[in-house]
Amino acid sequence: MGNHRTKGQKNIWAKLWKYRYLYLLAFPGMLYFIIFRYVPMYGVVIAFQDFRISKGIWGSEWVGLEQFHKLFTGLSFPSVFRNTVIISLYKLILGFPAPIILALLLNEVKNQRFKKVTQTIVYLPHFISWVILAGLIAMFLHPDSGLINELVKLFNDGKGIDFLVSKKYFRSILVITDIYKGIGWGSIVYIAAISAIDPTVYEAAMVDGANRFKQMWYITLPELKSTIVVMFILNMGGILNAGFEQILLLYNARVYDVADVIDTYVYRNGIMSSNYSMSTAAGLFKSVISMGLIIITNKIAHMLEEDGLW
Amino acid sequence: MKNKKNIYDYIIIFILVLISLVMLYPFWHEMMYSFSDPVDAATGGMFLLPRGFNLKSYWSVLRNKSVWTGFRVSVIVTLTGTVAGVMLSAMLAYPLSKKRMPGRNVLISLIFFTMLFGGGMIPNYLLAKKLKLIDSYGALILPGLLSAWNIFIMKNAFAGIPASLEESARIDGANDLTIFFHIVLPLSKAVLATIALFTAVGYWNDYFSTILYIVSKDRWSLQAVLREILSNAQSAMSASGISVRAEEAISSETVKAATVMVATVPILLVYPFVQKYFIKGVMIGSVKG
Amino acid sequence: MEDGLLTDLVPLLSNIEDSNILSYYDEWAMFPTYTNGSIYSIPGDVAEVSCMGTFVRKDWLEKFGMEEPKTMDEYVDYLLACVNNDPDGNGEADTYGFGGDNGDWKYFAPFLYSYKADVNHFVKADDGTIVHGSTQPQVKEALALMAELYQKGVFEPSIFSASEGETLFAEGKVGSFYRYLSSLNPSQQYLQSFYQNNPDGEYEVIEPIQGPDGFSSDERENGTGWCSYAITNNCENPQRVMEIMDEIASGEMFIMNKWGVEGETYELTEDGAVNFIVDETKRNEMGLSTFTGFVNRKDAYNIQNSKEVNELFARAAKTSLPLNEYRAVLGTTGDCWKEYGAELDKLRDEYFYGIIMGERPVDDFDEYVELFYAHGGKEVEEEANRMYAEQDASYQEFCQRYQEWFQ
Repeated sequence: MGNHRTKGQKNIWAKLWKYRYLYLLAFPGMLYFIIFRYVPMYGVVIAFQDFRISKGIWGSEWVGLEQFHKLFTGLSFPSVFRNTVIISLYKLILGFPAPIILALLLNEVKNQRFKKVTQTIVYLPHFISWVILAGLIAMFLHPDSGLINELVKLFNDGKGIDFLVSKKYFRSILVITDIYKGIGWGSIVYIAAISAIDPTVYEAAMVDGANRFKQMWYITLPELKSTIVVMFILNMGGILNAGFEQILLLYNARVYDVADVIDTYVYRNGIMSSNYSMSTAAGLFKSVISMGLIIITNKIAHMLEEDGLW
Repeated sequence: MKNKKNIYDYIIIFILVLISLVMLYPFWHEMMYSFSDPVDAATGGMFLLPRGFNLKSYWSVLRNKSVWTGFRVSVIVTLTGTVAGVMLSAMLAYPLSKKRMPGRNVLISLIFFTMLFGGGMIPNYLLAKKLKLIDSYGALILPGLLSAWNIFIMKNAFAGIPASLEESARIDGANDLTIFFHIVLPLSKAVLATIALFTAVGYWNDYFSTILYIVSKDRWSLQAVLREILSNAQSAMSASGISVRAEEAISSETVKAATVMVATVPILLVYPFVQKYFIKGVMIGSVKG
Repeated sequence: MEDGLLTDLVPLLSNIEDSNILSYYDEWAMFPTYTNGSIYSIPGDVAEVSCMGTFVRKDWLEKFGMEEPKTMDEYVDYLLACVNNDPDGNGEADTYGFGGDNGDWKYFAPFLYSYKADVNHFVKADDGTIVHGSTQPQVKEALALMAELYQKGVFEPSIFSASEGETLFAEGKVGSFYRYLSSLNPSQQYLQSFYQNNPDGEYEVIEPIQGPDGFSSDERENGTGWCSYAITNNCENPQRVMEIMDEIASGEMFIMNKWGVEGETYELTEDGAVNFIVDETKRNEMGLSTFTGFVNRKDAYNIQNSKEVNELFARAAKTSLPLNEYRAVLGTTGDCWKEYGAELDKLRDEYFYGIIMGERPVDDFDEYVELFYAHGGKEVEEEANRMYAEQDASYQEFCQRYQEWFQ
């Protein structure tokens, strides 16, 4: 009877021994995370201080939750938070499926050459910085001379719409251009996943008379399911980001009301006051919410009998 | 199956061609702009062809010695970082894909946490200082070597490999290491290529690490060099000895466009090489039998 | 300075006879470096006191048969003509009256300063107190004017959303801008492009437009540098370093630093442009332009400015004086402003642009003023008054000492 414990202990060690090679493989990577990610993490405390560069982290005064309080009670915060959530959701709902659809479309192309060339072209916008894109977008959306408005004028009595200053359209512009920039790059993961599907499954389906839509629906998509789920959960992590650089470059005073997000708000305040602490606090706030969302989404994935992150 | 094209094929091709043209435009615009004469190009607007074709802007960028040292630095950093990063990521992701491994969830949680929380610039800088990495290649490679994002994608891909393969290998006496290196990795070419691409692009585009960690002029990465040219910060660069066309401090837009091309084209050339790993049927022959 | 790492420069400077630095900079330029009772750094790059002006198209004025506009009425007539009278003669209504970059109210100067409306600074009210310029009643009139002009299509749309000023300037379809005087330097790329596209076109800079009360002014820079140079305590021979720095600051050295030797490395063209004779790599090897961040001279020694442009700078120094008297320039940012400033600016921009572009009625201006004071405006103004008084006292003290040190 006294051997129970020792047996249990022996079992634990035995288990660890069984998986020893796996631990060995994992070791260097974990070492990296500990050294380069966990050791510097103490920097998070800046969010709870009144940080001054000259005093450094250890010398700056502790203020507890004051930075958060300042953040949440700012005049614009309610609208800023609202915009962040709305724009992020908008981008998620439209922007998440887009690369998948593109990957599926590309998959249908039989000519390898055409497929490869198209794939390469389609991810080019990812490499063009927002600085350049913003200039081009402004050019295309110009109310009088922009290409888009040439079309609009046909339907709108000869008058163009100034999209960039319009509260009605600005968010849509943000979402559409964001999808434009990211769809090609985002589809790479799915293209890779599709290429890992066993072609014999398709062959069998075709013998059974399935047309390409049925194939897509019953084979490709289910095979992609686990990738889609993982990508979705990962995207949840960035959900409150809403596209700082893009918005900063495209927005203007007329659309603050619909487009000012947490990051742009913190940025403007930070410029004024060099408030490093507030931006860290805002970042922390976003991260905590994202973490909650990821955990929830992960649980939902499990309920749907899918592998999540865990 | 005959190579018959039906109406759907044509529709898809049409859509894709349309999308391609639209996607191509910004890049094309910058390219045409970079080959244009600065005065002709100053009025802006759409660019389908260069205006006043000349190579002035490229000349001005490429004759700058620092651009070439930057190029060398970036190539070294990108190659080393990508190889090391992909290797280590795979080595870490594979064990995490085994649900039965004790401690798996703990490790996943630890990695996940770093995706959302980090220390920021100052602690990272202090750490690099402690580790004597300041002004070294290590500082450009190590801090960004692995990312939770990439690891989770890989983990997911590894989990998709049929267990039967592993089991039959074990019966033949293979241990985890052999399975990993001789079965799993060869079958995962697509995801390895994908993560390699992501990592390589990440390293290539990184200019911030240089700004944070590097002092010597000959260790600046290409992106950092080019960015300084773009932002006309001549005093910063001349202080560290990097030569810049000071009089073009009102840097012409065409030079900026040429800079964009020089910065981007090299990494774009990588993708076609990666594409061959996205060919279907990598698993043929493994499932049968 | 707080940590005692820098050397006191006053004794070093006073040892130099006929100091270049002291003859180039006046008390106001040196003032920001005044700390702990002495001077610890030298300003590096100080902008001209006024470097912008109201641009109009001389050839269009002639086409319309108009004289150079002096009053707001004349100016508005000109702007409307630009929109309606097809000045580029191509039969299309594709010309505008006014354009510029987005993001700074100074680009709207002709409409604001003529009404004595200075919406982005603290100003001196009639009774001498410091108030924020955006709350003053005359701003409402200026906004009403701009709203009217907006309805009539005078503004080129990108002034509200993008920074296309340069391109518009080169294109030549906008009749008036408020922009930098150096745009007229012959070596300027955008000017060259303009001439290429508009061979008969010509820009000229007019004196600032007079508003209904007869007030007019050009934009005034605050006269302080954005960077400065100091000598650390590690220096072995600070006096020598100071002497070298002083030599570099001289006009002749400046030219040599930036451009080299006339005839060898550069030449002056007829219209006053500077062309380099040697190519870029050689220039970099010679180290040309490496030290121009130090005492970047903007006076006559800045030979890249043509004669005309220099005259414009000189004129602008005078035409911008009214604003200089009205404005209350603060050298540092106070804590209250750090706390409320960003939000107050956002509030102002939302209201003002809304009014101009017709989304809000002009009377919403009163609402803005209320909200301004309710959300930190009161505290911010109180602080500004305090700081200005302190700054003024400190400046008087500085000027006195300055005389003692260097006279």
